Amino acid sequence: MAWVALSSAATLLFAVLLWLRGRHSERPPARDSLSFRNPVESAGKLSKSDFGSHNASPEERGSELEPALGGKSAEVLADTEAEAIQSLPVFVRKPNGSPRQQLDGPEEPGAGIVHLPTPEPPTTPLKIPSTLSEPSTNRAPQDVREPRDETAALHFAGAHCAPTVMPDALVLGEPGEATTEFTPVELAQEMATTAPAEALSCQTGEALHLPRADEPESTLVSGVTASTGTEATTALEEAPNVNAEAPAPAPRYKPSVRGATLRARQQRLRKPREADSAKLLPLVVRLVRQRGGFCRLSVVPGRGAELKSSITVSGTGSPGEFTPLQDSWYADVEPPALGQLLRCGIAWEARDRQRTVARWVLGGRDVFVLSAHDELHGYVSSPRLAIGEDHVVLCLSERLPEVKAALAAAGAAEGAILEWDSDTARTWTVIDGVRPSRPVPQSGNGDVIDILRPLAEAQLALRGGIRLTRAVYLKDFPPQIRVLGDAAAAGEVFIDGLRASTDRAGAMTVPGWDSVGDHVVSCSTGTKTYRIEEGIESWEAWDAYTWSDGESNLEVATRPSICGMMVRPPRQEVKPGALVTVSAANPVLIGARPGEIYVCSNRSDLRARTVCGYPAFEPVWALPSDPLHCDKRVAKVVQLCQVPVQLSGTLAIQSVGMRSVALWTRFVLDARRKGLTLDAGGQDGAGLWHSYCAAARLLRRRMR
Amino acid sequence: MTANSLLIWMSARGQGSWHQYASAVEALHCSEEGEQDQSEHPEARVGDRLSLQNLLRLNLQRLGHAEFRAGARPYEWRIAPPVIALTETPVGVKGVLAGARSKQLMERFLGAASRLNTTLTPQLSAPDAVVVEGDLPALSDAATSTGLNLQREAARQLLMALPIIDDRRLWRRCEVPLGTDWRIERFSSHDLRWKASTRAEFDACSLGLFRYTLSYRRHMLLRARGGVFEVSGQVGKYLVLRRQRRRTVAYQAALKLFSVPAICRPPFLVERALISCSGLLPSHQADEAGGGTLHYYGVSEEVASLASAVLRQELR
Repeated sequence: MAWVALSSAATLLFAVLLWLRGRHSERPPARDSLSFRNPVESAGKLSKSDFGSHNASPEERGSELEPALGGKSAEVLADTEAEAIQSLPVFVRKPNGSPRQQLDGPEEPGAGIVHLPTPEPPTTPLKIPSTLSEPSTNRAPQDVREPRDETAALHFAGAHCAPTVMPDALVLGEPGEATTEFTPVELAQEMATTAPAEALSCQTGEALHLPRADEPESTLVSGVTASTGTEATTALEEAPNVNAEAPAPAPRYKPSVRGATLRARQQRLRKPREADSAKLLPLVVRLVRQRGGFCRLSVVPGRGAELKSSITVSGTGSPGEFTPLQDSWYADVEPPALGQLLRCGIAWEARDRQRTVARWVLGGRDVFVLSAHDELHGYVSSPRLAIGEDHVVLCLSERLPEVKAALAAAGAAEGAILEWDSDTARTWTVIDGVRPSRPVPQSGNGDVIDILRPLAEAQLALRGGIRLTRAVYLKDFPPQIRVLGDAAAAGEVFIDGLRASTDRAGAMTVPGWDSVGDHVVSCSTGTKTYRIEEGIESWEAWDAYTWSDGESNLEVATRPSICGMMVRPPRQEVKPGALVTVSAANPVLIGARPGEIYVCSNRSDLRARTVCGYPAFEPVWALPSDPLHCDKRVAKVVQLCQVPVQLSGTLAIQSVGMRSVALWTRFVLDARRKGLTLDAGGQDGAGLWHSYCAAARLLRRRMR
Repeated sequence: MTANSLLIWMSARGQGSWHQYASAVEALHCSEEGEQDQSEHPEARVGDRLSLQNLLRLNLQRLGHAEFRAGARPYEWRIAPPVIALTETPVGVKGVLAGARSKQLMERFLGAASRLNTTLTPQLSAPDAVVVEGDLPALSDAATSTGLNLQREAARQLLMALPIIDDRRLWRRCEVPLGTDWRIERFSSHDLRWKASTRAEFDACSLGLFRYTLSYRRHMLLRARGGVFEVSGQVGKYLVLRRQRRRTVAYQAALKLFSVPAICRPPFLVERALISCSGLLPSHQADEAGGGTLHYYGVSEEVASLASAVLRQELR
């Protein structure tokens, strides 16, 4: 009997399974890896495609997954709208810092998806994990089922939140950080109003698009609280739209319950990647200290590779036109009401032919943490305080007591207060020199003050130095290798395989760490590589600025050119010699060999008292340009150096330089005939001049 | 980090693009002093807000360390070779180190110039000024052993290699920008400031310097002799001042001080010549009107005369 009963039960079970399978096959396949499931039916069942590129083995996910969905994409199991409302699944982040927690029932594959009790809507806001892709240092090793790819990380369901496209404008606040409370209805409305071109109807059934892993963290939906009912509606802090042109209301910022890791934070702060250049780009707050305890605040928009160098942008505060700062960033923008915008949030967009090509969103908040940045000078907004790093904290003055208490708890000495001169109402307080020294547990309630509570994490960092390219540093200017955050968490640090020691400045070193070549730094939290190279040590001059006298061919330019502080000879000089400067009254230069004669060009337009030239010989005398007709009271024969006349071989090369020799002879004899005064250093000068005159007379006789 | 790091970076790279330079300015954090200086920048006071990159660029150009844009073709910036720019003094010569710098080069030079009087003067938004004084043979030896070039009488040579500002061959005819959105201003030679103007005034004017601004775009247009020419702002101002016979350049021989109104900053190659006399950027002395005066130090009378001749000004 027992056997019969058992076989009957098995048959019945098999029939039920067949019926269920038949129901499955009647439904259309999901169009994307992201979809919704009825928690009752699909509890504990996730397909491989749910995790996108997740490569975990079936054993890791649970062997029941494959037969349940046949290895295909998950299907929409909620048949009716009402059913979907009732089975609204939401994500929950474990308040105590654990990445996942299931509210009802045991933890199962796809942890992080929490199914609310079917008949009752949630009464308290529940949250989606802030950055699902962020590596977690305290994640349990067995938590391998957690999606590695953000594209499959977020599931969302509801009557008005069937699979849909997530508009970029919904990125909430600081990249990868924000959490904003939205009801599904509000979420849908938000999508419909802010990105009509992209945000498809909530009922179209299209798959929910989420940022890929290679997209900037700013495009990640950081945290969405899904709830139903009126109380959730009031939970939304809608930021005032300063400008009616604003493409979307700026969101309000709330930190994730559990903060990002340092690595994720660093990645977020890096330049925008090309993949999202036409979508959401970073928007950071920058503070630059100024003299006298003042500071200047601005926002710096990221720049995508496909964007034009200058673009017109509309939105909150009418930012106007962005001009380029460098490849990855536009120049600082300082809207007149920046203080208000920081508090309420910023949403900007750039359009090209009615198509939105880029968006920038900054969640409004009461507290900002700013720290050093790899690519931007000054202090740039960062997700939270990090142990051992210098920060500037910008907070609303009304929250100053809370901020001070949080900073004290983090072991940060009370820093100086900077004056932000644009903030005439003193709405904001700027605290300089904030350097936390110990981790502080997170409150878990999503309070913005949590960003002032450093996490017990560590990360390797290369700071300072002179970087030639991405990871190449100049010899003699290597980076400082530091462990940021909780150094104990990093364990031992190795450089090129050698155990590193800490110097007085707190940097890690080993013998030869700054020598030319490749280097590897590693510790338990990660690895970094850098290379030291020598720079250029020889530099060549060029004609940077050449002014011609109107010649069509600059190759024979008669004017000298300029390169830095150097003045280079004109190109017409076949053999330019050293520069010689003489009085404008004596522009003719005579050398020791007959035929060595050079006439300096005079700048009459400058009324210059001197002229200069580049003779190919060493000039001995400087003579007036017309010795016979000059004013002998003023004109002189000027001795430049003491070199005796050299007649040897002069007459043998008559055919080569006869004209020059004749000129040389004529100038010397004319100057002597006029009886010009000799401006020489001493008696030797007079004797030298007589020897030159004698040589000229001799040459003249020979040439007749 | 300071502008010294930027100069070392540029020297190690040799040449590059503007974006590389701008990224280096940001990444090297040559920041705060530059920003501080910017607040006092005379051009900033008259409405020309300069970015940190441009402020550093202008100073690097003025000091002869590097050439940018047109002077650096086919690159967008290029480091100049290291040179000691000499100026004669009553007791010998004074040399200003300009151009590329590297740690090895500086160590070699400072070692070779140990017998000379060497001064390093920090400057805002610019690399340190390195000035050596002594007799010419010793300085020549130091330069030779270090591998540095020597530029004798640098200021005089630079000025004599420059055209005067009203050389018509340097003017370029251009078209007047179209559209009504342009903000038009006219340079007032009387008040030495920009005043709002109109297209009608532009058309009716026989001689004047106009500034057309639309967002970040700016054109300096000289209306003269019935034509429209695009000129640099500095050149245009001195052209207008000359035509109005306004004397703005002053020289105090006793102090060797060459002074110009801050709004009438000379063209940068003229500035380079004036700066080569001392190695120092000009100091800005503010006045009640908000404009102020720029003072260049150590300028000899002859150099002052040449500079004023290039600017077509009479020395006061």
